[in-house]
Amino acid sequence: MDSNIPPLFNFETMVDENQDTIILIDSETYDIIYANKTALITLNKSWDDLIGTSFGVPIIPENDSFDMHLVTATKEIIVETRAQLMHWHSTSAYMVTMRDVTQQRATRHKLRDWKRLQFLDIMSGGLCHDFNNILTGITGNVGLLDLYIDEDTEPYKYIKGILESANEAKNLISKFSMISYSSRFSTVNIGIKDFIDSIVHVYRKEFPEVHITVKVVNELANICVNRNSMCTALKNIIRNSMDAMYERGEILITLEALHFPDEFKVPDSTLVLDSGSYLKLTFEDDGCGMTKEVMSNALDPYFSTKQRNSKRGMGLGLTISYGVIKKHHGHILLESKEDIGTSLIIYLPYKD
Amino acid sequence: MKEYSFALFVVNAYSIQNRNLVKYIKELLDSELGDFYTLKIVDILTDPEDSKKCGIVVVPTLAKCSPGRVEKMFGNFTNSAVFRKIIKRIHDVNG
Repeated sequence: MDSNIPPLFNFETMVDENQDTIILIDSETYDIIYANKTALITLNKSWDDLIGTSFGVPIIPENDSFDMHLVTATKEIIVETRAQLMHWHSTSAYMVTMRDVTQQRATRHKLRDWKRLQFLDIMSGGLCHDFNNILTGITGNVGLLDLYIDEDTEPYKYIKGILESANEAKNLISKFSMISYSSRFSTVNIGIKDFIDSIVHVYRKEFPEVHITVKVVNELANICVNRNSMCTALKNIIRNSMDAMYERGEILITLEALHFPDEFKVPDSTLVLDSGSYLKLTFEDDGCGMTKEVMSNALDPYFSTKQRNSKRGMGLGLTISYGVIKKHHGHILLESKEDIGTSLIIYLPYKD
Repeated sequence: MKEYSFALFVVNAYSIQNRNLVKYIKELLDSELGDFYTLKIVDILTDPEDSKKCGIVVVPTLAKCSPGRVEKMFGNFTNSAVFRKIIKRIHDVNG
């Protein structure tokens, strides 16, 4: 063998340079007799501060690991901890290895939550479908009964009451199926400018004190959407802006076609868009804005800052918008400043 | 019989996981030491001074504070055979 080749590794160097926190504990006194470089950095202590201090008896079976919390003055991390009895310079010692797994555990939790949500989504989609069938049976039969009863009679009022309630329930179910990813979904090709104009036209008539401007930045391609659900989603967003400005103020809707040849990180957010073409819709209002706390809950179902039973919605509007945009594989971003206004930005992917 | 004083250092004392841990440790201490012990629960995030004083680095850590010198143990306390052995040893030395 070539004598110039250095040894593959030196054990002590390997321990010292290891990225894991490694501490050796005397197996009789349970005092620290060695700490590697990572340990000194992680625990934010000098060698002299650490060596000779009591660490404790590890209760971790050999060849097994246990997640523990490591807390210093500056951070709290989760460490996968192992303890192995070994010889270190003729002393019997426990080699305690602590690997930072904070990120992995967070990802594992997220994955578990995501699976749970996916299950709930499938279940709610199925419930919406079945419940709708039951309601169709009720409305159909009550509708037929309606034909046999004279309009001037007392029972006719009750039948009308049943029909109204059943239709309200159907309406609610249809809102929920809009946000259920597993429910059926058909799309048509639309010109987004005309589509927005038709929605805005209604609001302009209904709320003359709100000035809505639609600005087109560049040439827009047609986009494939589910017309009904997208209409509801955009209406909810505009309605929300109107409520925030007490039905008086300015709303600016900007439409822009974007193309990203590579992955694109949206500035001032954690959102990363895949490469491709997107339609960017920005809804800006000069309403009351949102606090950070309100903003973090704004897309949650049944979250509302409006008074309960105020007939101005029950907190499903933005949840539906979010669900619809997600169903179109899009993204929603919220930016808001209290007393200044809110911007809601949608990125909708489309094929050229 | 001497009375032992223990402190259990945890993060988020009221979590289900930690409540189960306290229950488990109490059961084991009851069976080994009877009524002759006290157990204090210390949340190291809300009570950092206590953990600093005892030199706690990782949690959960159980410390026998008295009698005698402070003795600490950390890890998976549900691994009862090892944990029981340590408590017995503490009792043999101090009892």
